[in-house]
Amino acid sequence: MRRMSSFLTLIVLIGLSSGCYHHHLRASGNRVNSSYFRKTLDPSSEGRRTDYVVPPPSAATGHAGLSSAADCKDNGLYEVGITSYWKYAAGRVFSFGRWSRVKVEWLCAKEPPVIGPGGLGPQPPAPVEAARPARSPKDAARQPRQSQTDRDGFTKRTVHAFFWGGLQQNLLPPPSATAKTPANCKSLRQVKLPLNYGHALITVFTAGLWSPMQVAWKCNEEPNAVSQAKAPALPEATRLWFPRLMPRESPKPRAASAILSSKE
Amino acid sequence: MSTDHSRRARIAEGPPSPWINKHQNVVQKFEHLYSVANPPRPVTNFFDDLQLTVAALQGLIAEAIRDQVRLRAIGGGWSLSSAAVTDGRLIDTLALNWAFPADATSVVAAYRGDPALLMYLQCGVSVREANDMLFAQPTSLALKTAGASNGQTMAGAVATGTHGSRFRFGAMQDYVVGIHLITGPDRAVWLERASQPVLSDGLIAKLGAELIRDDTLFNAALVSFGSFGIIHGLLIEAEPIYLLEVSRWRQAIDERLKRAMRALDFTGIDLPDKSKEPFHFEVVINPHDTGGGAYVTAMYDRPYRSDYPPPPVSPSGLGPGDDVVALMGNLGDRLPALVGKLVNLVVPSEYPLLKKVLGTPGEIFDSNTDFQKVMSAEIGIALEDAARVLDLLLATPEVKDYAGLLAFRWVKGSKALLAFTKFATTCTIELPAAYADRTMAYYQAVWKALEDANIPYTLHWGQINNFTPARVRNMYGAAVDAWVSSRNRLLAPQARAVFTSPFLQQCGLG
Repeated sequence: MRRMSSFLTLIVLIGLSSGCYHHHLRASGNRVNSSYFRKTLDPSSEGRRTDYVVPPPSAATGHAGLSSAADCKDNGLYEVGITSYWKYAAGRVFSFGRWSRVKVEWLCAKEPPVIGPGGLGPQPPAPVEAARPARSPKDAARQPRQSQTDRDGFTKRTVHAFFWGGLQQNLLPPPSATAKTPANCKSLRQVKLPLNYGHALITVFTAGLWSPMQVAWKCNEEPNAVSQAKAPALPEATRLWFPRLMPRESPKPRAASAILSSKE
Repeated sequence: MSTDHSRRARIAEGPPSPWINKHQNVVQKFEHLYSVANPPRPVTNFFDDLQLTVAALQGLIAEAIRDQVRLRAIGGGWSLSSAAVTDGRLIDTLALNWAFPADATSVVAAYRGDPALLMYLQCGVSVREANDMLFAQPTSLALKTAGASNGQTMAGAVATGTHGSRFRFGAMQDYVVGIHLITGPDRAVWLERASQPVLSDGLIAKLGAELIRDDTLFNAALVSFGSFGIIHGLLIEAEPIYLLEVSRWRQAIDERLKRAMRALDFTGIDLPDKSKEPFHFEVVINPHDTGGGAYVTAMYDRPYRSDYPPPPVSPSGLGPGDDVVALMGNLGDRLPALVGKLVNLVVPSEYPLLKKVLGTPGEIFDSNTDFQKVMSAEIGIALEDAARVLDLLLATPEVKDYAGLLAFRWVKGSKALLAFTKFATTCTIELPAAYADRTMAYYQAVWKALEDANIPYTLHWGQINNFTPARVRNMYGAAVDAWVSSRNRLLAPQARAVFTSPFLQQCGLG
């Protein structure tokens, strides 16, 4: 009875999610912005295309005599968030692909830190660029695999959202030896969102129950190949939510975990 | 200073207004958001380049004074209060992630610690980066304590008094021994305690800073949420790397647990290691399932070894939608009868039971991947009031509609004048919850109940609060005057006007 009541509660919750679909793609480096760049991509802003790209070409306009950091030209992208709605999919379907819209938000990636010389002693020839250290032999097994990519250098993957956005698929660290994930890149040069009519059709004709979306990404060139080679990326946070829906060996310890827990 | 006159720090325009914090409960409109980065690579003269960055930041201060607008350096955007922001110009510091270790030549003869444990961290170094940098030292090091997350900047976490639950130590500001502070368009100071001198004159000269050794000034600047100028860097004392062994179990909420909570007397608790005191102790209570017991977490520090089984991680996969927790709060506002069921649905997967799982501090305290809109407030009370306040929290009528948890941790008192961990041992009670009107109603009810019961309390500066000038004075007493006079002493009037903020004025501090 208790289980049934919990299940019904969950159904009510996700049913009210109102067809809003989010996905996040994240590289394994660090972010350099404390707040997102945001833009709604549509043909009026980006022109007629077969795909939208992040950072969008129209994003790099600065003000006050300064260039904008929105193009992430220094070190590429750290994270891209994508938001779509059932109504956007319907618009694409019923305009026969002529109208399309998606909201994106993104953060640029940080350059690796520079560790300066210690004290007043002799200066090293050049400061050392810090890299993420290997911590145990098992970490080595988690080293990212070079994903199979298209000729243009982009790796494609389809991500899914279910139950009107109540469940969503994100591509987040840790890097994976077996899966195609942007977390296998320190930072991303560009993310593409191919406009797929078939996916919009599925979203509309399942009444929002299932919404697939294709994403493609290209790694940024490594700024420091030597320290990269010596330093496999460390595992980062993992999702512990909805454990029955996630492959999970055993829970990762946390002082407090992600959602209803310490926010510090 | 560099002789290469073409070399300079990089300033670009950041994301457009408004600025939104990580947890999406603070939306701040601004005039400009500058993204400042160190001079580009290759770096041939590290300290000269640091001074170029200081000069760039001083240029932004000069412009703010000229234009009579407020200015604030922001950190990782982790705070759930508006302490970290202002309504004029903002400086995103995350790109400023350089660091340097110290050695015997870096410190004064009177320094009592081990220079090999010192590390200067520029203001944009995140907790995650700090963990990595310290681990990568020739002799690996670790932070003495940190919060549960790793996305904050070290400077931001320190400036708001972020803490863990290492109850025999303190909060993050308590391992800071030097502050590199830009206080005006032509002034940068190196602040230390007079009672704890650290850096040598030679190294301070390399930073281009003016030395000030003053205990009160230092203790005031430690927790000052960006209002003492721009913190360019912090000198911290780290520790040799160690492992944490984590166990979590459920424990009846009875007199034995309450004794541990109000006295840190663990004799009645079935700890996983009875031979030593836990390094870290926390108690999380789901107010909608008190019969099932509290979630108790104990961590023990263990010597580092490289062959420990690392904490298992899962590949990213299906998880809750971004809107689910906000929706949960929204739903709870309209159908409060559902709140308890929703919380009970979520908590077991949030707090898995654990048995002696090992990890470095950087691996254990690493939460940074949620995308939910949430709320959180955190109360500081004296250790001896912990059990009494637990009863009060559970007896507050609004708790039945509260879509959140009660999380108790313990922190040794801090020397920082406005540390919310001000009691000899502070019990901190965090109230993380869904974003909802009923969450705010519960916070208000709890604050009122504490005041009605005459229980002294403080609130975390970086979380949701009820600050008024009278409340802040009631919380901190004479320390408020010492803090304000320190700020007045350090900042010229023009700089003081630039570094004030609506939050500071709300608190009666500026």
